Amino acid sequence: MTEGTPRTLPEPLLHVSLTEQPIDYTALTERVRSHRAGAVVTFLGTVREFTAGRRTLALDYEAYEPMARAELQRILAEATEQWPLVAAVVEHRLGRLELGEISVAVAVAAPHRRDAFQAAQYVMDQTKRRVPIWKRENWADGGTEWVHPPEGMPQRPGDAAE
Amino acid sequence: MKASGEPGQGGECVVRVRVFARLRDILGTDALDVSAPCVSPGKTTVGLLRQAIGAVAPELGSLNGALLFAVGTEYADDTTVVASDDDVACFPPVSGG
Repeated sequence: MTEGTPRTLPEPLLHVSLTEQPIDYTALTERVRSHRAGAVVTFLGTVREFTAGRRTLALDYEAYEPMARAELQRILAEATEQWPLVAAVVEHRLGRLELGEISVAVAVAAPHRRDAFQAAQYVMDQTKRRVPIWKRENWADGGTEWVHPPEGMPQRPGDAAE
Repeated sequence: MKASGEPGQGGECVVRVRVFARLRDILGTDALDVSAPCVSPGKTTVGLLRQAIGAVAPELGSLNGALLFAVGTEYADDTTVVASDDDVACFPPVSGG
């Protein structure tokens, strides 16, 4: 915990969402802003055109939605246990995304920047590692391909050693 | 561990398993009824479900060992006991973000 931070903060504002609509990152960022925060970190994941030299036309995302929402809620709760946060929100897009579109947005507000940066990174890393969402590449040279990392069981919260 | 089909303490349990992403494409369905040996009346385990899915879909190959399972909205491991009426999901490693 950062020096000078009161030990008891009010309950942080937490919010998760899965949406087929474009993510409004301005609204998401405004949602976490507060007089109690001295730092706001917003992270956006966007659809990249080239992966290992191969060109992507679009990505399709799907989720096991009830579990994805539950897992995102657990990740935000874990972040609030580790850093003194004013607010933490995460939204993930589903469906067809074109190049450059935002697939995921995380916004975190904290009294101090170090906590905001670290918490945002934790939320994003854990989201990629644990939340049951999958992307399918639509390649410019033809064909589609689900992205399934080779790792087996996702690391559980207790295993995160970053 | 009993082979599939060998009478267990309660014979075979049938569990509806929802599947996602590449697994759904391979199986050609978004849910399948998996028959696995019971470890107690009406209950089996995630590991026995994994074996049963591998037996009915040998084309999964090495993906079978990488499949993740959830019971309700939480991850489960091979030792997790599953009741026939639990919400069970099975899917490949995740790739959100």
